Amino acid sequence: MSLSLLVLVLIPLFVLPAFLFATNRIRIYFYCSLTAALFTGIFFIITTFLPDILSEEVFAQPFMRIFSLILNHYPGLSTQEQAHIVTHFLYLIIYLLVYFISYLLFKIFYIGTNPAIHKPIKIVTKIAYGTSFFILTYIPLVFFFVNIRIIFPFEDGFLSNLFDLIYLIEA
Amino acid sequence: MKEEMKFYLLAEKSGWNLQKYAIDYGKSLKETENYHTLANNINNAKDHLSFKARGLIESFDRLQFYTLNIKDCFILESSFDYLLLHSYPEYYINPLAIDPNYHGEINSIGELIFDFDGEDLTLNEIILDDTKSQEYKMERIEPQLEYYLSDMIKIADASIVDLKKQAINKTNFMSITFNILEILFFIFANVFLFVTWINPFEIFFDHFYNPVLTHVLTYLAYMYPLIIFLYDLSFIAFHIYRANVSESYNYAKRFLQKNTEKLFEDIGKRKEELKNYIEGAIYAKISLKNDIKDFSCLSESYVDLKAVMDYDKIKDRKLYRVLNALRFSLTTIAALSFVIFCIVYIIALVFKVSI
Repeated sequence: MSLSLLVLVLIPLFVLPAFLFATNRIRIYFYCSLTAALFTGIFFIITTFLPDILSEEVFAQPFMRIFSLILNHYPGLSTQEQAHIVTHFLYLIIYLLVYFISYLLFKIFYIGTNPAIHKPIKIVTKIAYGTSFFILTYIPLVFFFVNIRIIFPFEDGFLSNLFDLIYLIEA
Repeated sequence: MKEEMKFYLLAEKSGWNLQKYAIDYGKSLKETENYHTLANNINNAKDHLSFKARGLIESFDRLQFYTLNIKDCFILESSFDYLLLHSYPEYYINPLAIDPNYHGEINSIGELIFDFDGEDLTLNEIILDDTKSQEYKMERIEPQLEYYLSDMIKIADASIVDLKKQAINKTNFMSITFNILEILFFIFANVFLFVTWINPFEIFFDHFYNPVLTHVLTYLAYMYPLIIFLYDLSFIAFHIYRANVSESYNYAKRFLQKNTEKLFEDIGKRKEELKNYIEGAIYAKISLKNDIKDFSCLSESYVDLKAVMDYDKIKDRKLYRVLNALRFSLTTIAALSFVIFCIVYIIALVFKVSI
């Protein structure tokens, strides 16, 4: 088992809902994942490209103690690597929290569009929503796995060159 | 009624036993062309929401073809002939309640049948009739329009009542609780799998990379991820299917919960628009064409009220039952393997033993 294989095995779990769910449902999931990805993306952009404003070390520092349960098992990790891992766990938590809150709000307030009115454009929009949903959920998850791969027990596999591009910490 | 039937009725009244003839009559009626026509018409009527259409279907279901005497044959024949005549769509279609995706033989409101001074006439015939004044025609048409309005209001009411019944239904409450628990288990089982992967427990990974066939941990290290993967697939497949078949119902439910007043206002407005439209045609003496769907209350913000009223029938579908059974089976297997894996993993972790 390798990380590359894991990443490929997860594809059907995201592709099936992305393109087979009912239109109104996939629309809600798309909006939720878009909101979550935007929120998380803001933090990612700041910590990665504007470290002067907020670096990974500063962002992760208040939560290091909580994640020490995991990190204490990996004594060979540098401070930078530890902060990197904690930061990505925090991204995951932010993403899931925002997704969940958005989902509740949409569930209460969103009515949707009439599924019984047949419009040819509906197929095109459904594919667009499905593709966007897939990109906004699957890609962040792969991103997360790749960035914590130091503490993952699996080898990189045949996609290791791609993972090296995504993993921004120098070896 | 055939002449010989009248004779048989008289004979039966005089005391003759004509049960065999009566039984044969009921059976033979089912083999006639008229019966097949009626059955076909009733089948088409099932796609319509109007209470007249539903009344037709109920009347057809109540027809007693097992007749034991000539009197029953007479009642059957009268009911059958009446139903046959009124089973055509021009008699029961309600232009306020028509499906916006309707593609049938009726293209215009002008083809609908109105009771005009005891005679069944199409609206176009009434419009083009020179013998009566416009005001007289409108007076005679108005009750039918009021019927269309009350019919549509009844449909909307029935849907809202059905929604409320489903909301407070005990079975529904149980299924909601089960669904929440299932989602929590879905999340927990996958998170637990992830935790076992990031937790650097050497004994567990030893079994993963160097399997020992006599140890339970080896089997669990391979089988648990596989079972969870299959469970995830069945969970997703079931919810995709259910979301797709109940999309109309879900949309109608959300729409009705938030827009009940607007729905009834719209129905009233539509009826007035229909009345003005017909009045305009009567005064201008223009026959109506290709407008049967123009006044559907269900068109612009179409709410599939039929989906609301028939929601329970979704669970009778074959594929629904198959996917549901698969989901239940895999949930049970996943839950059992989760419990066993938890126990074995924790024991191995705490006591640092290879089980």
